Amino acid sequence: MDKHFVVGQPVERVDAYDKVTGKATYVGDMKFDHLLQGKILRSPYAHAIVKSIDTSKAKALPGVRAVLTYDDVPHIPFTPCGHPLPFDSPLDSLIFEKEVRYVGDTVAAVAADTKEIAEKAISLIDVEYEELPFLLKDEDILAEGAMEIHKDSKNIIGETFTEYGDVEAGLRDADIVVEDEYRSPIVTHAQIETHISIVDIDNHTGKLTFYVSNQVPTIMRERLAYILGLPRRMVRIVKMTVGGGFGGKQEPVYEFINAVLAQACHCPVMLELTREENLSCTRTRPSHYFKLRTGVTKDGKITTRDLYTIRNNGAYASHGHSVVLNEYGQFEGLYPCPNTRFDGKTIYSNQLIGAAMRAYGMPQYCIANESHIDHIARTLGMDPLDFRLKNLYKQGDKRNFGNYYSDHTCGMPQVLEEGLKRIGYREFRENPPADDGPIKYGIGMALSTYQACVFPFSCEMSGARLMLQDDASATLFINCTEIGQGTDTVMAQIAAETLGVPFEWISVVEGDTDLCPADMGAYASRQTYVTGQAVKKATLQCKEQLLERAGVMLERPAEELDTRMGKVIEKATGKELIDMPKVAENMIYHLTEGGTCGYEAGFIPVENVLEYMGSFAKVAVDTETGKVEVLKLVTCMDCGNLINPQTAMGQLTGGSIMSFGFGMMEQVLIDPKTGRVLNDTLLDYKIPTFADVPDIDAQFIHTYDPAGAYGNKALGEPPNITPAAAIHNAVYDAIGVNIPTNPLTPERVYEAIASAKQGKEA
Amino acid sequence: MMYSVKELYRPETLTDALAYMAEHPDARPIAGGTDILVSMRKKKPEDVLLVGLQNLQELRGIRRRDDGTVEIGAYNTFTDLANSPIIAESVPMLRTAALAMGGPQIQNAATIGGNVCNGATSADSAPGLFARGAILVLRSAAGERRVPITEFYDGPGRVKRQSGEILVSIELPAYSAAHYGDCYIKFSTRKAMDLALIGCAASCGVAEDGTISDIGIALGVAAPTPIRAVEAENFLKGKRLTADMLEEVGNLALANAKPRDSWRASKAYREQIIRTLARRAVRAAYEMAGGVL
Repeated sequence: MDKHFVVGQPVERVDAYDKVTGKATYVGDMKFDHLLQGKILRSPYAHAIVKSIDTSKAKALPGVRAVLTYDDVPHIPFTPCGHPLPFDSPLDSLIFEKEVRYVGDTVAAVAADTKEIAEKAISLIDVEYEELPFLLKDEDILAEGAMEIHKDSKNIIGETFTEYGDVEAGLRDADIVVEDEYRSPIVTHAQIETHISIVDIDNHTGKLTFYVSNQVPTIMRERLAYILGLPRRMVRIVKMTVGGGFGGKQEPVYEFINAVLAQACHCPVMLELTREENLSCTRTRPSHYFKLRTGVTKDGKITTRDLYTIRNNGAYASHGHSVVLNEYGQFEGLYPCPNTRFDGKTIYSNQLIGAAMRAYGMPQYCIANESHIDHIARTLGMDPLDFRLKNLYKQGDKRNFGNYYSDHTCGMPQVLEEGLKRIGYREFRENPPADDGPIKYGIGMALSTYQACVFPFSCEMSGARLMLQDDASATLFINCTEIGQGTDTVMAQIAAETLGVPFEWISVVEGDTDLCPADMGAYASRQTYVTGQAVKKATLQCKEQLLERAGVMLERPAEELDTRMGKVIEKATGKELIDMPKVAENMIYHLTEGGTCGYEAGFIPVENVLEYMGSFAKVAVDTETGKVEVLKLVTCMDCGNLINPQTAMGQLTGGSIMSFGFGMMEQVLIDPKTGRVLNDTLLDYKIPTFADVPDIDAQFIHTYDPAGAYGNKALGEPPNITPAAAIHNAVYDAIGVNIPTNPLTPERVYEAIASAKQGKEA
Repeated sequence: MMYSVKELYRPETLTDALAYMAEHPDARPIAGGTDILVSMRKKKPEDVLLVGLQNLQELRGIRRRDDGTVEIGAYNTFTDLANSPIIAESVPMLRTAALAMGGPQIQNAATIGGNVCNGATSADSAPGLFARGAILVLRSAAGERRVPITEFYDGPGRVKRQSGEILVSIELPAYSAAHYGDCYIKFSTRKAMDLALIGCAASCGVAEDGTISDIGIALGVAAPTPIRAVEAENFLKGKRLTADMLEEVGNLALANAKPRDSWRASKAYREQIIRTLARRAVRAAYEMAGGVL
């Protein structure tokens, strides 16, 4: 690898100052003349037919500008799923529904001069509902002759079945078969900034401009035009500073509602959800059920793996089944073996909607699978580490599925070595700490692979345009979406490195579909991997033109020249020849040969790479209360070369905290009697506070993968996969019970300890 | 606006405040606002007359009288409690409670008077005040009323503050024993920004010979209001604590409790936590007072 000057430096984030001082503009900070406020009327029932709506009292309220129902808006069935074309989810959604399918479904909306008037108007709309039975549980939904939540769907959103080798024979011939069931809870993104947008309208042309807090501007433009029945040229998406996405803003969620309100009122309309709405009627990581069966030989070699999974996706498909496919993509990542079967389905239910959430199915799969692995090891009387070492994928091994992943780098051996050392695994095993009164100690680990992007299954195009200025600084135009991960900073670093200028010379214009080239946006862990290459490609073209000009000025062949930190240098010797700003100035102002220098490039990857990661946890469990204290949490990750070690560490630490919350306290609870969300506040939907965050030791394992622009692989989602599973296994180690669900609330842990004790006594 | 406030009156003296309260029987005192504003966001109550207590010096300060009584002005924030050397020396469990409540921002705003008058069984200050047999000093234009805190709660979110009354101060009568120890344990999912699933306080006066002369054990969220665990207290009075007795303390603490089943926790689990916390709090208070098990 070449020496890098900007890549690999912990440069300050380009948005750090604005965010810290409050100058950054979020949608809610925007000022407009005559900005109206929208509000949604939501179904109070989990399943009902809207028989009639009387809006007359609401319309009569002073300050109300529009009241819209099903009859006033387009009825184009759509999927909000924020994937690139073509549509890969059922077109099962409408702007307003006549048959409402979960508590919170959209019935009508109001635009008014103030939020308070809008709220009052909502309460004045009279709706007559005919209540219908509703379905929440997998077994009821899949029962023979069950009511169909969507007509002719059989309640199935998608199904996948593949088998390699002979699984039944493998299970029959295995020395031991271990079986486990696991169910993950519904969790939600709980972004600090609730869902919000402003839709402005050009009353001459009808063109709509959406100011959004969203992760996928390019896809939003296509999808909103489709939903509203408009040509795409009539939609512009302007992405503002985003206060958290995590996958929940990877699709239009409610933006089409203030769009129809803006069309009706000829005024800009803001729609900002309350905290309660954000927690109970936006998007979730829905509940998954897993049944795992694994056949092993007596000496601990896995011969057969069988997984059955159900994703209970809620009232509409949204991302639905593609999340199960993502689990499938990693199913053979870690423990390849001859006989494998994956049987997964995604189903409808009458509850809030499952969609994308950071690491797309993997956090729940990881706990299910890695606790299963520990269970097998214990059944065999092996240490979970030794069992893993016996079965782990090694570079060059064959996988039945997933051979499309390139295999240039695999940092798993170093992940294990570093992680085990940092947690003190072997010392703990050799000298297990004695119980301290009611306190028991445990240690555990969890490993995973993860892909960088969705190649070769879905469009993976990213674009970038670099405009060279007359001083060799440059403006980078991208729809690579900064939602807090630090992509503006990292893309500027890649442009600076490639152009050969200091970091400060690059400015970024980002997230505007009228200004910036198409990009599939912030999902998977794709942006540094894919957009990074687009930025490099566009920048190389600018650099080439600049060097040609320099060659003319210096009367030397351009091939002999290179750039470095603002200077044109002699490639062979590194000798500085001329300042780049002088060349750039000459390019623009030359009397006869002047011109502009700007290039746009699109990039599509030709290979997909895997990151390798592992978490290692030490816990203390209070057996009288079930309370778990995570004493130490180590996460090591191979995500290739780091473009910015500081923002990378932010991702790894932040992902560890999010995963800790998933494993230990977060869950959306639904009242089985009504289908309502019980805990729609941040008091009862518990995300960890800083007081709760354990001692986190995050480490990167260095590899340099030739597939990335500068040796990088990918980083956005992987930190959110293994920590919860490692904690889960540490608790398993401490109490000897593999609790078949998460979060590990004190009550749940206490009950597991108590019932194990009872079992022993009985 | 978000909060339906008809008027906010901010008197400079207690006399003015009480006069206004006498004229406006519906007026509600507001101190830190961390409870009342949350309930007003849910639109109940609406069109409220608020009397802001922020400027009333009569409600401030923490004093220790010569007889050992600790007098806490109702307008002490939880940060004030946490920073008070008198609290740290005389009732350290209230410091623990103050730092367990909400987060730093809420501790800076919320007051002990508001915590009590809000009537929540989960109030972090309540178990400690119950255990110590606190006396509430309430004033109205008509005069002063002194009420033991154990008689002040009327049900979930309801207290016997009469119309026109303002809670002025809270008095903690002194323990006469040679040695004192106390302990508050808050059991909650999170370490901050959370309500107690169960809270338990124990305060203990221990004589030179190790016998317990004064004992208070109180529980939050074990019943619709905070409660004293009287049976466990009676069991311990006049005895030297031994490890064997702790089991009984836990079981007796349950005798006065009426925990309920809810989606937040089952009754059986709450009972287990009550037993465990009572044991642990009593033991910690006894040991802090120099008792040896």
